[in-house]
Amino acid sequence: MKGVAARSEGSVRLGPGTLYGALKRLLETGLVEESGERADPERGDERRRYYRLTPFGLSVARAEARRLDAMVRAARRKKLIGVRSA
Amino acid sequence: MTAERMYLLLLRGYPPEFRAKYGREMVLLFRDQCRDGDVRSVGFWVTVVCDVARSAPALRVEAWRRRASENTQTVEVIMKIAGMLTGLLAGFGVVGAVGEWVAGSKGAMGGSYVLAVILGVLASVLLLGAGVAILLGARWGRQPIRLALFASLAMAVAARLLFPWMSIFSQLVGFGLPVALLIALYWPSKTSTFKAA
Repeated sequence: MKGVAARSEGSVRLGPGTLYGALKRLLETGLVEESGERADPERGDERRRYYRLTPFGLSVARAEARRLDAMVRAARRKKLIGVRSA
Repeated sequence: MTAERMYLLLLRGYPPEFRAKYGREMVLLFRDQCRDGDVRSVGFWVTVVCDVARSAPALRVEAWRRRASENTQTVEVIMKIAGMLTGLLAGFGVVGAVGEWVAGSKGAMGGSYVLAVILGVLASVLLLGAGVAILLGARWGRQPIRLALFASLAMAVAARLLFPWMSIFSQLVGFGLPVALLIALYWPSKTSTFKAA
């Protein structure tokens, strides 16, 4: 949750309900899977479950990133972004 | 009341199966939130309640949909069994009515008797057709099956009123089965093989 807030510069704040609701759907669609390994065994709480992207999830994430990249490039060409307002 | 107890109460907004799977982890995350935020502030609780209000209804709807879909599958199995039973009983009905015709033909047959037996045979044939259609999954929808059942019921009633030749068992099958199947076919259901026409 902290990671999402930090990466989105505070614009996206996930609560436990939103986070686990999304995780449940991601698991059901096969985009993520439960992982036995802990990212940081020193810090990790063994009661928590850990999740990782599946190869399918990774390809979907890449495709979505490409789609967003194309949209951003189109917005730049149209001078909707990247231009300082007068 | 502690913050965690309050949160456990809020968690009751989520479907039981979701709570069973993720509840413990959600409480652990909530503890992290409590450590990082001011539990006594209104803003903290507004964020927590908003999170539950935003996510719980959607998950409840998902759970209801899943349950409805599972129920639909059960109903479909029951309908297949009912279709088989209907086909079997209607088959016996046709044989019985024909037997009645053969037995009756040995003596003098009145007009109302002949008509009653013909109606009995037709009612059984329609019931048999409805049973087979239910068994095959009724690709063309429910409406023809409903019409066949209505017609079968009307004919069975007319046959009984014209001449009292049917046994109690035949009457139970002739009246009860179409009524039971019509109730089942008019029962609202989602994404069933027996799609509403």
